[in-house]
Amino acid sequence: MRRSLFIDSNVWFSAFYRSGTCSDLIQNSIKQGFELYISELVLEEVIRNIELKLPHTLQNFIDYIHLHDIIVLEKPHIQALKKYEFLAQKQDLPILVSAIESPCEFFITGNIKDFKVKKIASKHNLSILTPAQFMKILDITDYTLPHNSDHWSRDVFTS
Amino acid sequence: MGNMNTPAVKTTIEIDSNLFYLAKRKALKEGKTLKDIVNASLSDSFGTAKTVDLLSKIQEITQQSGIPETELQRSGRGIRKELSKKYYKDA
Repeated sequence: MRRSLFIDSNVWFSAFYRSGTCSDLIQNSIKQGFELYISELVLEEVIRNIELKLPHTLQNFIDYIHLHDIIVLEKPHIQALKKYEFLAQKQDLPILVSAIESPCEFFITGNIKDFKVKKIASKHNLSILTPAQFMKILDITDYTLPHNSDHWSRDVFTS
Repeated sequence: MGNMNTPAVKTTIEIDSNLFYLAKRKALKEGKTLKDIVNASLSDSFGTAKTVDLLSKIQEITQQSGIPETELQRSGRGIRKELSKKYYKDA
């Protein structure tokens, strides 16, 4: 199984600004063979914001999504949310549920405080990390590690 | 696309007349030579074209826009609220 991560909109927005943690995170994850995910809601948020603030970058962003085969997860059915209530703020819950119900191992966001990080990690096997925390994982992880190596990095930030 | 140091090869081949016409039109439209168009197309189809660093391109345009990151982030949060409201309303 390929290692995988979900990238929240605020990380994309930072990556549009400068070469730094967020753009390095995206580029390095791709280089290291991670599968990148985004949800329908996050994609819509990013596209709408680009249309509003940076319309000339829209085609480049869409090309980037296609070029790197970034997977777009469907919005969850409202009923699916009940099971995960209180794990995140109401507005973030549909996005979190898309990620929980996908094969993603990591959820990268700048607003980590909006999520019940420990509960999500222990009950749903999804690590919610800031870009800086995930960069540490990328730095200490050898690309050649077997992909099924016992959730090699999941424990790093969940204890 | 081949760079300037790569030696050119002269060849005689049959080309589909429709494709040839399209290539000529593209060359005229883009102000390039037919050779440029054919080389670029071959390069694309054999996967040797340079990958454009799209993220850098976005960063370049963003920098030129002068819009601060805080504004983009704030606007994004507003859009998320709207989308979330719509999601719960439509459900």
